[in-house]
Amino acid sequence: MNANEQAEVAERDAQRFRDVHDKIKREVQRFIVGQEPVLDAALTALFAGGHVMLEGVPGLGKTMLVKSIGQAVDVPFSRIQFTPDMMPADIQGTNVLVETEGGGHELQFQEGPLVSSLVLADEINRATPRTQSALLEAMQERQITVGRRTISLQEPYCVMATQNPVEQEGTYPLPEAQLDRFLMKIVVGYPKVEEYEAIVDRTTAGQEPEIHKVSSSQEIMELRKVALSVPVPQRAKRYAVHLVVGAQPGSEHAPKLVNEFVALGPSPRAVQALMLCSKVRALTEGRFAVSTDDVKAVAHDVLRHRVLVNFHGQADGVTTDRVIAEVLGHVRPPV
Amino acid sequence: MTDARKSSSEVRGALAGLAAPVSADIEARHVHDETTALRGLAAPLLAFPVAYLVATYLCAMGGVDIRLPWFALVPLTLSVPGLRIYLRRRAARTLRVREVEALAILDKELALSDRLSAAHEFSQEAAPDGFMLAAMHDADVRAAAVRGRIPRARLRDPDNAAPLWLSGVVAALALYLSAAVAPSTFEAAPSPAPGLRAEVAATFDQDEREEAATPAPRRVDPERRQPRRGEQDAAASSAGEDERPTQARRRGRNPMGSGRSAEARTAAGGGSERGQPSNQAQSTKGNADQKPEKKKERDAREDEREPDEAPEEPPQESGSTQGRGSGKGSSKSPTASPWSAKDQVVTDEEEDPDEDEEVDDENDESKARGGVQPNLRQRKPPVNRDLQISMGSGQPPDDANGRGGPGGPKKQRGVAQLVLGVTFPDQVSAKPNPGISKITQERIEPQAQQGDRIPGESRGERDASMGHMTRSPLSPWMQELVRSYYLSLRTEGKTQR
Repeated sequence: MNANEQAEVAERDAQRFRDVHDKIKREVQRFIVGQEPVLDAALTALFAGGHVMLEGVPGLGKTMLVKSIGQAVDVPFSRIQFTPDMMPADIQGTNVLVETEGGGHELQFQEGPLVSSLVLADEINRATPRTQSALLEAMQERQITVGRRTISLQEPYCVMATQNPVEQEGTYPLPEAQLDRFLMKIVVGYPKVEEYEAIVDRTTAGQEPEIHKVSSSQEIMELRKVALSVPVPQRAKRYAVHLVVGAQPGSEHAPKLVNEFVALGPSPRAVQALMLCSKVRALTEGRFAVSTDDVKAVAHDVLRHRVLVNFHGQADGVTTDRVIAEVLGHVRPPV
Repeated sequence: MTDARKSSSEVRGALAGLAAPVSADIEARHVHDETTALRGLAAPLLAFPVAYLVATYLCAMGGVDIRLPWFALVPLTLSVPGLRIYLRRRAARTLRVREVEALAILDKELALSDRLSAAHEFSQEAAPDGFMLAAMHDADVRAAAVRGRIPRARLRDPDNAAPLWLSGVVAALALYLSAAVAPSTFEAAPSPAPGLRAEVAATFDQDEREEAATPAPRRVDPERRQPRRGEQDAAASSAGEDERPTQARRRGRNPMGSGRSAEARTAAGGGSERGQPSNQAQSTKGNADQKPEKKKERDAREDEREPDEAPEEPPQESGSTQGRGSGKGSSKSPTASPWSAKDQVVTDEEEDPDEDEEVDDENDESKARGGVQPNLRQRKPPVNRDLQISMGSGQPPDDANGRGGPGGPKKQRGVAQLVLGVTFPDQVSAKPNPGISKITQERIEPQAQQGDRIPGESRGERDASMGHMTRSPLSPWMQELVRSYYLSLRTEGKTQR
């Protein structure tokens, strides 16, 4: 294959990626009104092969958004409503006693809702750390272990967890080490004023729009490979590294706010996440290489849950988004 | 794709052609800035003359002449803009805009999201993959589209550029004013006339004679004191003195012409403020509470001394002469005579240097601690309060400071204090035990020993007679009491037995 053919194949792959992305987005938007940045971020995580944490107050359509994506993409979908009394066996599966044809009984493994492709973990912070660990093993290792049985999960595997920033009574907040395993943390905000009328029309008219399947798990896996092959120029790579280092207190790129109010900065996993998400965004924007604009665009969602504000920062009302905005304003794209 | 694809080298050449005008444009912008730097020299040109004018005026008000000759003013005036020109030229000539920098600027200006700079980087790859080739082609197409609308640098004058000739005029005017106004200020300063000097000197001599004749000078409240004759004259002449103290010190003579330096008069309590108590005279030796104040005063005097002032020689008059102070300002106490006043004068040289150093150290130490901790008494650590039995040497330990702890014979207590003239230390000079005690453990195997057998035999009845028991005889009245008691019990029939 000569250079021209290689370039044409790449252009076709990029165009296909963009088409599938747009089709899924349009299909979900038939049901979900507004929330376009949230939908873009969720699809970015799906195509980048990561997991998403959706945070927002109740009633903003987080669960509906994930369900809609699961319906638009033809992948096995399951939903887990986490509660404090939920045990790992409730989500992983367990051995149950079944009756055989001969009249006997035997233990048979019954898979839990984790054995799926698109898992909606609703209100993940209401589960105990024991159950959260079972979920996080599935997220990180793409497998679950029950007793002596290890089950590999089917790709594409994506966990979209939701949590409520209020009503923290009786919850078990995820520790930073486990939050780091989410590719993005998306903050779901209120819809715009002009979107409320469309929400009312679509949800109270008596007939819900039907979401068609516009993609498949096989296609998602192919497009993930396309996204991985997007090249990253040195400039964008260096900028991503500077951003991550700039959010670490005491580093040479850290602004004053970071040095004062940040207790823990993002890990190298954050650079990987920045690159993956930037590649997906570059394709959806119709480009063949990552730019510093892509890195900057995904920085908030990627770094938000990887920055830990110290006590003084919390007392002064410093949020992680403010810290990231400060870093973005302080670190300039290198030339 | 309708456009013909170019190779990496072709794309690189196209991008270089795109970057070249941008680089040239940026460099031209710097050259333009260098050129227009002269236009922006208005403020630097004014910097020195205005500052010199203000400084000259202020110093003239303080009696200091800092005027410079013209051959020094002109180079100093031109030095600030000259230095700025030199720095800007050096910065502009060392600037070189690389291709990738120019393309990055173009990306930003044209909102191309790093397409051009990324393609420039990919074009240098030995084996670019499909996405790199696609990115280069994309950049080539975009570059061709924007080639005609590359933003040119808007070369404009600096915002703060003022007409240079106007700055030159203002600078020259400032220099002229500094040279013209300041001398008038100096000339306007009233210098005491010779006749007035003689009159003031005569007044001072007369006052000195009067005070020498007075055995006990009155203590006068300086605030309530009304100026007397002669003082008004001295105060009138002090205005002229105050304007040129530095000149007077530089010349080394008193403007009053009395042969004493200004410092000598100041140390004597102020020549013009007769009767005001001198702080120096009030500070008596041995008064520890006033030592820090003396130190502060001395520091204050040192601070007031001008930095360019070389350490001057001590005043010609001695400390005693200062204390006498011509009788002015030396009314230390109601009983102070001229001789006692002389004795009470404490000069810096007469002060105990050790004590002063202690005070200095304490002050420095207090400053080092931030002044938040109390001073340690005599800066000695507390004594050892070890409660072990001492040998009673009778001598206080080295670290004894009167704040407790073992320290020689203690005060007598108890009976000993009642015995006059008998010192009785309440401590025992002896060893606490007779010697070293030693504890040894011996490992001895237990051995069976044969005990004496007790033969079994009848021990008799338990309720047998106990034998004869001696009884102590009771007194007759007690026997009668017991007898009557039992008799009463029997009569009532309540006897248990």
